[in-house]
Amino acid sequence: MPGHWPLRLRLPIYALLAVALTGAAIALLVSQVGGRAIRGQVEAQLAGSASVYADAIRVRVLGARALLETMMAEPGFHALARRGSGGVGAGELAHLQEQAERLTSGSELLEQVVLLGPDGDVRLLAPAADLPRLSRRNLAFAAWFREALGQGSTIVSDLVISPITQRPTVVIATPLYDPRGRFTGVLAGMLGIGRLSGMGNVREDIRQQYRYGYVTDRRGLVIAHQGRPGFADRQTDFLGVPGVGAAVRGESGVARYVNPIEGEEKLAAFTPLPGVGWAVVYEVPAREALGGLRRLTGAVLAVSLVVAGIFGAIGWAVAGRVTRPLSGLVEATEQIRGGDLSRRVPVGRRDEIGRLGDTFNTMVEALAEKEARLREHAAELERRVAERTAALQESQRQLATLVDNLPGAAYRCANDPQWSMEYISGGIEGLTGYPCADFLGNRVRSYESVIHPEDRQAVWESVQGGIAARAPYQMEYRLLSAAGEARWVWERGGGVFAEDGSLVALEGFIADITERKRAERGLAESRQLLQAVLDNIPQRVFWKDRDGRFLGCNCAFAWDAGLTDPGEVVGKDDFALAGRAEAERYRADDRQVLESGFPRIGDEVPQQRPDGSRVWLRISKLPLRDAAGRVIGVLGTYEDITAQRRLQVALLESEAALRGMINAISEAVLLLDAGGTVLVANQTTAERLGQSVEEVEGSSIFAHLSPEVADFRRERMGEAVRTGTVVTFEDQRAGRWIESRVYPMRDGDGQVTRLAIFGRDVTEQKRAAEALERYSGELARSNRDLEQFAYVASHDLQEPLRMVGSYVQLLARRLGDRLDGELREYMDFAVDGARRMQRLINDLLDFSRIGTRGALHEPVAVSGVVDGVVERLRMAIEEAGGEVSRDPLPTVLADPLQLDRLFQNLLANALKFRGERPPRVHVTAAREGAEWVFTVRDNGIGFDPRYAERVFVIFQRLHGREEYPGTGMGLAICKRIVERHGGRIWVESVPGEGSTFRFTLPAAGGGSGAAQPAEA
Amino acid sequence: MPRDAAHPIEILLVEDNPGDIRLTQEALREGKVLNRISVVRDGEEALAYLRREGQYREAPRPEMILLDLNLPKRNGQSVLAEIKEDPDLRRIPVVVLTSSQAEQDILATYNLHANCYITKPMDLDQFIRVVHSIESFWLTIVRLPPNGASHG
Repeated sequence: MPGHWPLRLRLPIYALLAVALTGAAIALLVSQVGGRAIRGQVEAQLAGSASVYADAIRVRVLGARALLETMMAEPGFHALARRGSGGVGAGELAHLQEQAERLTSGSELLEQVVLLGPDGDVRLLAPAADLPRLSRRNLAFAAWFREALGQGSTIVSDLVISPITQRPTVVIATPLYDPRGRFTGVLAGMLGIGRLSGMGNVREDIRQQYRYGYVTDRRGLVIAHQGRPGFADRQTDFLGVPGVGAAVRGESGVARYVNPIEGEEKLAAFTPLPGVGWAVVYEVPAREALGGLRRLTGAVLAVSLVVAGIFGAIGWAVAGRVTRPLSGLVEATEQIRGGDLSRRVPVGRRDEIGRLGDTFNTMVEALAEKEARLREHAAELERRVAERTAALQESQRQLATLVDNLPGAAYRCANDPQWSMEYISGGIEGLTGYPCADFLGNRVRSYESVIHPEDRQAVWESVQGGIAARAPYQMEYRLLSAAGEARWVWERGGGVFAEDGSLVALEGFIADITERKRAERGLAESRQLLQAVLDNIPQRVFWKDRDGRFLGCNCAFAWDAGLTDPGEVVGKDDFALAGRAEAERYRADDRQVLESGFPRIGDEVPQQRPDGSRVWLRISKLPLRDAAGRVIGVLGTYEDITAQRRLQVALLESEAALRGMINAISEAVLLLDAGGTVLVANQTTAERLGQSVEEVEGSSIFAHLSPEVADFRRERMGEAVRTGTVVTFEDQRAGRWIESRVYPMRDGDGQVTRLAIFGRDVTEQKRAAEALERYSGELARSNRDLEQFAYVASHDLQEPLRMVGSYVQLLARRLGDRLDGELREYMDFAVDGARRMQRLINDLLDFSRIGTRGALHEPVAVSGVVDGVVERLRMAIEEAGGEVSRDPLPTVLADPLQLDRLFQNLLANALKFRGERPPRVHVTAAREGAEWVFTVRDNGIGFDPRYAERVFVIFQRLHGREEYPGTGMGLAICKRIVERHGGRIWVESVPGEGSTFRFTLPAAGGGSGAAQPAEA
Repeated sequence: MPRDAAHPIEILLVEDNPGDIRLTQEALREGKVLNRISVVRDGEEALAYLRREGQYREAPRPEMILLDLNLPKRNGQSVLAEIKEDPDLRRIPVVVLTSSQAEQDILATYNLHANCYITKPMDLDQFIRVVHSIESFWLTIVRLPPNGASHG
């Protein structure tokens, strides 16, 4: 309380303050006690909300996981995963698809279910409607696929980008193992994380924009946010929020902190999500939560103020009465204070105030006496100060002596070009090899003379600069020692100035820093070497501080980042560089390394390049530590593995294609190592061995064979390995004949290390060959039988006929005239019958002989043959008044006798089946390719074209025997002859107009050039 | 070769078919040359006859042999071969008279030195004509070496 305020004011203020302070104390007490209660209640409520929200999330995620794991029990999925859709039937495939569809439609979280094979190929996707959205058919690159494979059990992933929707999702992935523990694939479910945001809200009315829960994954990326459900799509890094960080580390509790993202003070409950590792945080602004407490405190304070006001007013009234007599006293006192110690206050009253006046006057007198004594005392003090100053100067000199013994040299010199020394400590001998006495007053040499000539100017300027600025100077330069070597020294000194500001001397200290300099140079060299190494390796290298700002990088990194020089990167962060699209993730990874202190090695991640191309990087990050082991930054390296990945994918694809191809082969295809272990086997191989492909691969091929077969094949394969040549052999296995071809395959050194084997099942072929041999034997026998028959027919069948005919004739002869006309007619019928039978037998014999006689083909001039036949038929032609003509005819390869018979039959036929007109027969030939087409055209009676086939059939007749005699064998014989020569015969006919017979014969010599018929 | 009409020509007919035997006999009976036909029914008998063995000790040496090919026991070709290998018998003309038209038969018999091969005709008149032709050709036109001149 200021002392110059009048008592008239002070008294009411005292009263007011007393009451106000009491009130404040009460308010404080109330707010302390009440506040604790309120805060406890709020925290309990928050923790409850967080717990409800966490349970809601956990139940749904674990529910989805349980659904997936239940589905895993379906054996069909294993088969489908392992072998692909070819491995299960179409019905089974539809069933599995339906199962998966039911899973997605039945779960509130699972949006898609995908089944992957062991190589990451997508085997099945539900809902099937999402299939076209699937960005790629192989998901082996997905982190969750590898994590599930590595973990060996169901995993819940962090926030990832869905390969289907291209939006953030969480994947639950279950690795599948067949009963023998082999990895067969992964069953994965993609969660619709948008649905998680709204869960766990007990009361809609309290969900306002400042009171909400949210969930993040292990890296602090938001999965669900009650307040801002869209948060998952535009990621903000929440790992910096203390509540998230604590929950990710596995802690749970309630805390009050400033949320760095919203910049607002929050009261938050946080808890980790057990089994998943996510963080669940429930936040409410502290201002809002503790509003009740503030109101309570305010009320108490207000009451206190009112009471204080009342007391102030009362004080004001009382003070007015008390202070009026004092005013005069005050006025006099003020004059005395002004220095007038002779003034006395008026004293008139006998009350306390009058006594106060007396006392005051006495006091003024005492004061005047004391003032005089004080002046004497001050003079005494000044003298003592002077003494003390002298003592201090002495102590300073002692200090200077101490300095003499320090390593290095302390000096005091003049500010002249020679640095003339007034004093220099003994250390100078250690620096220069010259005793200190040499330098004093430049007795032997000046200090300037031992300074390296190149550094003298710099030393001069540096010292003058210090003097001008009235500041200490500091510099590093070289001294030349007595031994002639240069030593680096560090000097610090300053001007000593007199009272009037003039320079008295220079004082300072020179220290030997040669070792330090050497170390610095070594360090600089090793730095340069390191930089050279860094700039010339293909890996990109960079290092950052704890705040994500770059401290340095190598050239390769700078170029990637869109910079030309590594120096430009210093001070920037990921958001300022070319890879800014992924900056959030890089920051999250950095933070993880910084917080965990563990490196992240070999993360394979995609990156969008500024030109739109997409590359794959393998990134490793290590914590950088200071000497105390504290993590002070991150060292990162990465390399572009796009080509590698492309190769890997191409390799997988080509392997799958090859696998598909060899499985499509219906013969066994195998690849073995030299010891007989199966490296690759196709489906057919497995089927023949009665095993699955997986069972066969990796086992010894001999283990599947009986000992005899195994020994034989081992020997043959050994031969292929030894000789390096293809070995072919046949053997019998399980009742089947297998023809195996063993191809030796050499490695880079020319050694046969592998064998490719093709096993062909030749059982059917062998059976067919045996059957063919049997049939041809039977055919030969049958031909022999036929010949025998022909012989018998020619002899034995003729004889009885001849008996019948001859004896009937003999009978007729003997009876002579005794026979009447009727009996003679009967006898004629009998003889005629016998004759016809004989002709039939002879024709039949001819017919059969055509086939059995050997093919003695020779060049035959057809013109000659036709002319010969015409000559023989001359009588018949003349008798019919007919004419047979021909064009020039070629030479063909034929049996001349059979060709004669052919034309004989055709021409005789043409003459026989003549109508009313005189018969005209014409023979022509035309070349068609390698054949000659012969035409025999007549103008006879012809026949209905529908009999065109029938006329060539043995014993088939179109006319009555009386009308046109004959056995019905003629054309059948023609057909047999033509076919025996490799030709065809056919006929075109118009009833009443004539018939045209055509047949083909192979041309002699075969060449199509000899098209001109040769005249015989 | 002018013949003494008082000495009938000796003809050996080797034939198993009684119908043909009869026909041949009928035909020869009507012939111009006086002849005497001896008939044997199979190949064995034919050779026995020619070699005058067994019951044929007194058999005359035939001046012509009519030989059927299709014979019991020993077939005509075999008999022909034996005759033509026998220096004493080979000069006797052998006329193969058979119903076979098989070319291999024709070829085989000529290879065995048959003197001629004739297919028995179907027609009676023709048959008779053929037999007469044989008779007149071999017995009146052809000049044969004298009997028993085997050693000369």
